[in-house]
Amino acid sequence: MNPLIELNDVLYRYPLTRKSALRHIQFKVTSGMVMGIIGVNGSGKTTLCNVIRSFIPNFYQGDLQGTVTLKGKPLNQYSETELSQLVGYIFQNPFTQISGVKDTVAEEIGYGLENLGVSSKKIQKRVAKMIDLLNLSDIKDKNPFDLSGGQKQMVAIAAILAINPEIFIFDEPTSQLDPAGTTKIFKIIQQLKSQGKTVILVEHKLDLMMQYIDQLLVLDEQGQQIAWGKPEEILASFTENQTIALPTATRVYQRMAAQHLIPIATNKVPVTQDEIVQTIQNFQETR
Amino acid sequence: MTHFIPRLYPTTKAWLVLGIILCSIFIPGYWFQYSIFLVALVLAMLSGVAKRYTSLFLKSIFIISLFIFIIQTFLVYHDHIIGSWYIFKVSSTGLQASLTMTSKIVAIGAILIWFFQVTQVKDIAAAMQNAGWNKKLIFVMLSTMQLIPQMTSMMNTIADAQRSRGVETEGNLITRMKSFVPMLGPVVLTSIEQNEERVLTLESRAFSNRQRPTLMVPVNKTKADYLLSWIIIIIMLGIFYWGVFK
Amino acid sequence: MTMVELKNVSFSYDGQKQIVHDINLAFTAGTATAIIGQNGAGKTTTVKMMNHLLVPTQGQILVNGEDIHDRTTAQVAHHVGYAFQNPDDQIFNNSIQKEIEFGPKRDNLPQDQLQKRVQVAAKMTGLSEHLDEHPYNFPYSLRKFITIASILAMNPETYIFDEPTAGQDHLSRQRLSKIITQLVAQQKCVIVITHDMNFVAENFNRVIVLSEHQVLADDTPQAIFSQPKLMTRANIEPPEALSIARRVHMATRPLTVTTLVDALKSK
Repeated sequence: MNPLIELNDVLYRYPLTRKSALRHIQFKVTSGMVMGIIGVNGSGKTTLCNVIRSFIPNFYQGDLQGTVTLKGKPLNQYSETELSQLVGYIFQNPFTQISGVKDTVAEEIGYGLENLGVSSKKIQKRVAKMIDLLNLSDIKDKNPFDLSGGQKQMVAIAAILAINPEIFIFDEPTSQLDPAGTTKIFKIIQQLKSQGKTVILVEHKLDLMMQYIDQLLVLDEQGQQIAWGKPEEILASFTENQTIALPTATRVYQRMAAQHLIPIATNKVPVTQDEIVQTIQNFQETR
Repeated sequence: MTHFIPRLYPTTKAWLVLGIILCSIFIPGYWFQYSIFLVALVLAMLSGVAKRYTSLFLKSIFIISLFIFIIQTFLVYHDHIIGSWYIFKVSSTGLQASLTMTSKIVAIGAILIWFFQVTQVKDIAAAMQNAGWNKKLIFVMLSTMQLIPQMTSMMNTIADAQRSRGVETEGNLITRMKSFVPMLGPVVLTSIEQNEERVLTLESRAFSNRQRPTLMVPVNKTKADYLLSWIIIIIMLGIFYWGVFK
Repeated sequence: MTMVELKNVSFSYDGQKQIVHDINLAFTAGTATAIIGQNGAGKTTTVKMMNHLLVPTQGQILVNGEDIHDRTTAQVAHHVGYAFQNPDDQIFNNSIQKEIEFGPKRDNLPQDQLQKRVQVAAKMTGLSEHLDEHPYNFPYSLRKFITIASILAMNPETYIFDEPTAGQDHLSRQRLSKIITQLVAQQKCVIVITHDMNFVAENFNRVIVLSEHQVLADDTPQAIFSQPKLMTRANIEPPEALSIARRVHMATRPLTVTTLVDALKSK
């Protein structure tokens, strides 16, 4: 079976720049996987998302090398319409994620389906479902422009969910949200996963992210892929430093190891709260 | 009734507007034209928008007409002086000219104001889409309509940003004008900057799909629309015939 | 010394629905305070009143001991600097240099002093090498540093940062910590709205919890994070280190990774 998404030695340079924004990106994502991307700001996370959605090179010029395939077919063989149905993209900035032509939240959510020529009955049903799923009934008749940043983000997510793509790209979806909103988004990601959807997630809230991802891609400041694999395995090779942020669980673990409270593990480290709690409990028992 | 008229299909109402505009232009005299103000007022009352109609009419068409009337009657030179007061001379031809001119403005203005009070832009867009107009054109029209409130709110936020950096935007008219002009640049700049991201948002919503789009809330012609359209067309043709040729 | 004081302050847009209700708070020089609480609790409204961008419908606001009721925002801005929540609402110049110098330029400073202000602000925010660039060449999260720099350059006594941690990576958060520490050391008054509880635990001695338009608590992070009921009511999560410590039944209440590991070690 072909992997759903496959990147092969991808290198990209923005126009008029000498430095590459991405280099040697190489990974395969199978269907139903939740993949995380981490790296400092400016390390090319959003750029990489744009490559996977083919906004690079379709909208941004520049020098793109290597191959990107979805379901075994090169990206350039897909039409824009096919891509919008296959890959849903939720952007980082909530303020520009409103179409600007719809004056109610409900119609904003249905806009993508209108463009796809879906019948009005089906759109209404689908939109009602999305409003229900994301608890948007209080604001469904409001003008999207009058919403707060967090609310706009929710509406944007609903609009993409309505199209029901196979792959979801979430580029820092919770950066403008409070803890309650953040929890809501992660619950949605969990649901998508249980429906067999494939999710690519860029997020700085590592503690939360680690609970949901299967695979992790780490980019350094130069946009170079420095690790790809299971988070508990690849984070074992990193220590707390300037370039790579680590989840709290891993930091606690490494500090404990540094202080000789526990032996240093080389192949696997705790990355989630559950895992570090287990480690500490084991440590407490041995005392 | 208050809901019946606003819910009519846009073209049904547009037939009336078109008919009245044509009749106003070609029917000689001014009685028909001035009476359109009353016709539109009655329609506005039936549609439940009489208050807004009157206020909008007074603020725009009435002032313009009055201005033109005064200029035409008192200041533009004509023959057949029928009365004078200091430098102002009133002539019968001047009076006639201003009455004809302003009556047309009143008629066309009145019916258009009524039309836009009872027809939502999004319904017009829907009608255009049903008629197979270009999707991009409709998009431009709709986003322009949204742009105005958006620009206003953007102006407010930029004014806030300037105030919190020590620019006086409060106070008399001159102070406000002074802070207003340098604001225009940033407003335009910001909206251009945000456009790039908005293009990608639209792409994610399948905007470039070539298939004909549908509408989530369809706007369709009803039997009443067909019937009314024909009634309106016939009545307007009748008025046109009687007014112009008889 | 008290820099900003709110006395029985309420705010409402329509005279009916209270966005902020009967708030009493005082902020002193040389301190950093975090304001937390869920969206819609009234955090931004509260701080916007301190900068006179919003005028309270009831109550009094004192800046440096004086009632600001009949002042203009432009006048208050010299004493209370406010970095907006959405950087795009604040940035309106086409280069970072122009954006930073916009505020101090209004003070008719001599050119060398003006340039020094810009340089100091740019250095603190890591923008020194980008002064000629267009603000929109920067990612959204980094644009926030441009707004902070433009406030730093005005050199007010009080600084309000509205959600500066949103979307920031760990390096940017470290930079923010450093800015706050530096300002406090200069005896400035710093007020920060944030949703990042790890950041709160590491950088503040005083936390104000807003919930349902009122002040629910005003205390040290230690005191606030050890009241689960309060946290549930305000819909906030404890810092990760504390959650871990609770689950392993530790006797102490560590808020940071360092104190957590220290506590484990000393057992």
